[in-house]
Amino acid sequence: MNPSLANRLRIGFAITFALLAGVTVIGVGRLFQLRQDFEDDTNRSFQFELAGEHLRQGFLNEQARLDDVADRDPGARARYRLAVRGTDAAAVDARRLLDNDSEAEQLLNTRVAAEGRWRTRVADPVLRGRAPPPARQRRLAQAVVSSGNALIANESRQRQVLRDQVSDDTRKTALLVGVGLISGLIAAVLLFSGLIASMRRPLERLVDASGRLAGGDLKTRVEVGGPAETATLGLAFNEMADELQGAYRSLEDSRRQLAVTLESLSDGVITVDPGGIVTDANPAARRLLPGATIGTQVREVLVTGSITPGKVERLLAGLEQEEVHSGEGATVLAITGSPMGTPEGGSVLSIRDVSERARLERMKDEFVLTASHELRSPLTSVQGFAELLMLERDKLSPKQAETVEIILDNTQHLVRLLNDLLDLARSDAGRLTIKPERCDVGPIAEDAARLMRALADSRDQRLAVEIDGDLPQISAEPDRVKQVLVNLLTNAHEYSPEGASIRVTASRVGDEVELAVADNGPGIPEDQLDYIFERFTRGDAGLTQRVGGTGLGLAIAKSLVELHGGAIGVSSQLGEGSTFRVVLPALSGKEAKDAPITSTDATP
Amino acid sequence: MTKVLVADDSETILLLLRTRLEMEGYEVTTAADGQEVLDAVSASPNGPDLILLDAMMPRKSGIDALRELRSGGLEIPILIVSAHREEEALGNAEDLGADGLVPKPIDFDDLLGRIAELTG
Repeated sequence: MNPSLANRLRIGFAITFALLAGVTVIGVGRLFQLRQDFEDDTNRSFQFELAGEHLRQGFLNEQARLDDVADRDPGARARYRLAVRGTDAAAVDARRLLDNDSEAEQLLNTRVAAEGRWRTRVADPVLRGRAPPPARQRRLAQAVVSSGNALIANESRQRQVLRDQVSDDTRKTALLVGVGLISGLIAAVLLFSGLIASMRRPLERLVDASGRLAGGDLKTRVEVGGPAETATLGLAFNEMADELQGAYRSLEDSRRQLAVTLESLSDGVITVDPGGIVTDANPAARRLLPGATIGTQVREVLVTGSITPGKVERLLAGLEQEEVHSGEGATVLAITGSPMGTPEGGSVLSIRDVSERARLERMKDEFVLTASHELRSPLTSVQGFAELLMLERDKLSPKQAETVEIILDNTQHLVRLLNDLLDLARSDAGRLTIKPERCDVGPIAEDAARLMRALADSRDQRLAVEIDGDLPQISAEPDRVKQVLVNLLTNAHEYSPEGASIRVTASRVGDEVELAVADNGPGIPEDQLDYIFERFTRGDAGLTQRVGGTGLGLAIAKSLVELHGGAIGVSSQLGEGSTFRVVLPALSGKEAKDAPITSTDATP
Repeated sequence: MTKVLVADDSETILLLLRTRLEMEGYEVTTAADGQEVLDAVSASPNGPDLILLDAMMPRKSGIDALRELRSGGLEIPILIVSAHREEEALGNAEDLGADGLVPKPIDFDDLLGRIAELTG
């Protein structure tokens, strides 16, 4: 893999920094050096010039002292020699400061030579007392002065040259530094633009690829290249694209599976949005509910049938598990709703065609009704002839009489069974009706207990009736309420042992009247409590063999109670006994009493 | 002697009713369907004092026979015997002029009491 962008940047920065720093250090150093040299040279030059000045002063001093000598001033000769030494010292100083300047050396030699000529040809004769002609004196002195002036002028000129040269050098150096810095910057710019260029292509490819990916082209992959970062980015992008493609494919697969499943379902499935608008419907749904096309309001489709608007709402909320809806013709549909459970909301409705089941149930009901009618005539004969025999009991042997009694007992049982079956079949078919009237529960409970008294006595069971005073009236068919109580009492009697205690109570509970039948029998196991009101359900198999009953008593009691707009329930403790409670709505003073209530109003 | 006409399509039921009623001292004649009842009533000037009519019979049902007997002006007591406990059928029969309904299986104590009351 290529070096990473970070490393390239680091290297680039280092090179640029070194380049610029080098140029700066070298340039600045050179400028310092130039400045230092210039200062040194100028310094020496001034000192040299000063030495030149000392030479001039020294010569003037010599001339003055020589004049004193000429004037015969005592001690003048000694002073003259002192002046000569001062001048010579200045010449030595100047020579020391020459610094290999040949022009200055030549001028100095000329000056020193001129002075030497002046001393030999002017001063020496004066000291000997023979002064040369003044014209010669002036000429030779003039030579000394002019050569000294030339020396000083030359040095001053030399300094000017040096200054010009230094400023020239400084300018050149500054120019070089500037050029170096600019070159460094250009090199840096080139370096970074190169780096950027090396990023740009892979980045552009990534941008293009992500655009295509976002646009839905999941097959898009990017060419991996460029610095490590873009290469990594490219690899990650490709991996992401792979995963996205994989995820999309599996999503697509499950969507297709779901679609095929829904297509092939014989149950209809409809999805609706939170507003109840149909968003999807499978073929079975379109067949079962032709009105439920996409975009229609599902409430309008459903409410036209047997479903009330309230039930539709509960269905959509998933509260109502199943509804029967009379669709086209004899179609009966069972509809189950459940909320979608997604943040968007909405519901799923599944629709099952239960017409066949409903038809079979109707056939079953009809069969039971017919069979129970058809069985009545033969039963009438069996019972009637057995009774005839019993009328002449004295002509029968004890054994025969007992046999006839068994026939009669079983006939009675058969009749009860037929009556119960008939009631249930009517209830199922919605044909079980009651004729409610305004009545008191007290006498009904007493009546039921009286019917049961003999049976209870036969097994030494105590049967107590407790009716609260001031019970409100109820709207009910007394015979049916009595039938419910007799069913409950029969169970209490049959399932409780000899000597058990059975209590019938009637009391007011709020706006309702509660009828309770309690026994202290064996109780009902908890796992049976839930379905004890279902038909042909009986408790303990051992007990069942001993006790009579049809297994329909509680189912009928439940139907009848619900037909009265009431409810039935049971509580039981194993070994302690069971209590069945029936609550019926109390009648308020002015309530109407004679509207018949049919089973369709109350049964699910 | 009180005469009772019993109509039922089942010979067994007829035998039962005849036996039981004769034991109680009634003079019993029988009919197998509604038409025979109508024939028996019109043929005999000295007709029955009470008719026990099964609701469901072939040819002519007990209900139809009841309707025709009443529209023909016959006023003797008529009891309808029915396997149907269905209230609709029974209510209908009473509207047509039946003097009572006897559900199957027959409670003879109840039936004999009512016959005695109606013919007494």
